[in-house]
Amino acid sequence: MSVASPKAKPATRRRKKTVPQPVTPWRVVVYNDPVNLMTYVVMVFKRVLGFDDAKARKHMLEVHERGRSVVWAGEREKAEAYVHTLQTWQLSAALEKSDEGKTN
Amino acid sequence: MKAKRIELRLPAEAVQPLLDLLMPLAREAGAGALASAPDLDSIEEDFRDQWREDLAEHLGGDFAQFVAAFDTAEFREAGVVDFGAEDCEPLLRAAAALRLKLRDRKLNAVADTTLETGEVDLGRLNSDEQQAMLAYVFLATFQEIIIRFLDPGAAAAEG
Repeated sequence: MSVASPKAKPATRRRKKTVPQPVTPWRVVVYNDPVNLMTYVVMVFKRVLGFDDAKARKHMLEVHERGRSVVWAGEREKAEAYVHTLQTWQLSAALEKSDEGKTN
Repeated sequence: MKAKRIELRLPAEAVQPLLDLLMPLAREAGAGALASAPDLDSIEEDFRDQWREDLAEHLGGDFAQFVAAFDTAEFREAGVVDFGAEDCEPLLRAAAALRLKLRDRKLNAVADTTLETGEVDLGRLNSDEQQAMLAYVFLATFQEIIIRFLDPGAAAAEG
């Protein structure tokens, strides 16, 4: 997946070095909200996650119709950075462990 | 090369009452100014306060851009709002946050499905709610104009 680099999140940058975490993929989930415009959500997906137009629309529709969409999965720190950036854009985004039994 | 700019000419007499509602919301500061509570369930507890502070600081910057765009003599005298391409993203985010705040504080009696479709019968709302709804719609239009400016192709595909 080709993605834009999320802006560094200060909270993550200041993380103390501790025991290495297992390489569990983490998911970035975006939830539906009744406020943000569809065109706005598409634009945010394109700008923040580097999606092309078709992919951004697919995920936007998934959010709209199913209530949520997994927009990225991978290492924790990068996932956190995406969640943080999406939240600055006022999207309802959350971090989720991929072993929580949800498929999308 | 001259940087691209957006110049909007708005009916100041119609928009000013909406801004009277929006500006106090945009001038709120600190973590309490967040438009909605971020979902931090999976974020380590030690980082949650810092995370909220970062979001609030970011939002404060976006709101400052919004206030700067409208709180001008040019707008008050001629209804002109003028800003550069570099201001588009903060203005879009500020408008999104203000819509969220309006929903939570002024339009909580309006069903989410109504907000989503935009099919609102203003006659069923009280005067405060009417004003909030007009501000809510104004912000959506403002966002659409900016999105069209940033990505004309996408806006055309939207129909």
